[in-house]
Amino acid sequence: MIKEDLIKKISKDSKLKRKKTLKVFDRVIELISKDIKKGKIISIEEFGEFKIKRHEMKIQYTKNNSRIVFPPKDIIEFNASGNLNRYINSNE
Amino acid sequence: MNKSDIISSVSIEFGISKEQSEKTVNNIFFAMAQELKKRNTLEIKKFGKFKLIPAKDNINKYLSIRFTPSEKLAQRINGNFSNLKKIKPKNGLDVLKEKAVEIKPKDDFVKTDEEIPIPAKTKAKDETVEKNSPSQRILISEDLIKLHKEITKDEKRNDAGTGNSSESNLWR
Repeated sequence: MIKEDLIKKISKDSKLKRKKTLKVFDRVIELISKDIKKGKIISIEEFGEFKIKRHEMKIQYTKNNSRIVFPPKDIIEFNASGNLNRYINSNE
Repeated sequence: MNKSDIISSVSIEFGISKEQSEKTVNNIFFAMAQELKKRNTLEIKKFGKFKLIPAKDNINKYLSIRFTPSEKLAQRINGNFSNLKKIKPKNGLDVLKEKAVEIKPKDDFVKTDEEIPIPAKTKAKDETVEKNSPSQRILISEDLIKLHKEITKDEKRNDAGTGNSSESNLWR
């Protein structure tokens, strides 16, 4: 439902047929996720950046003198651009 | 990958002009931002979810954007560590009498059964970890070696009856 509204709006503003805009939208998302899987940084001007961040192994010391060991982990990080942050926080 | 790369591939793949493609791609991201602002969340299937989160001290009501990838995507990214779980070693890590072996770091991860001379008595093998990631860091530390040795000592006692000690993992 939400995606339909999105596609409606995009196709209206871009003057493109809805079927095509749906395909374009899916393809854009696919391109981004494919590049993330390869480990590349994706920076989209005036939107944000997707990159992979690695959390290193962590040893947490608890009260009973025992320890918990957290394994390393790779996560995807998104940093919104300044323009996007300003837009989100504006009062329009 | 940049926005311009996306625009070029869209224009080629869908047979539309570059200007048309540029407009469409820009509208895609703008519409996503609009939707996110309106509903505070935006979920894209097989990709992830964007969420607006207020700052801790909510005086100015400043919202920041947080992205959580979908499960499959997150698993795919974390592929090299997906088999690792957090563990609670039974005994505390006492300082071992044997000296910890110094590992000279290569590029990234190290195959522990090649580099660390584990005594012949313990049959345990560390799982090899290899990674081609942009961030190159050394993850084998002295603590990990000590921990492994400590755990394999326990395992040897526990697995005495089962006989499955050939593939005991460091992480359970």
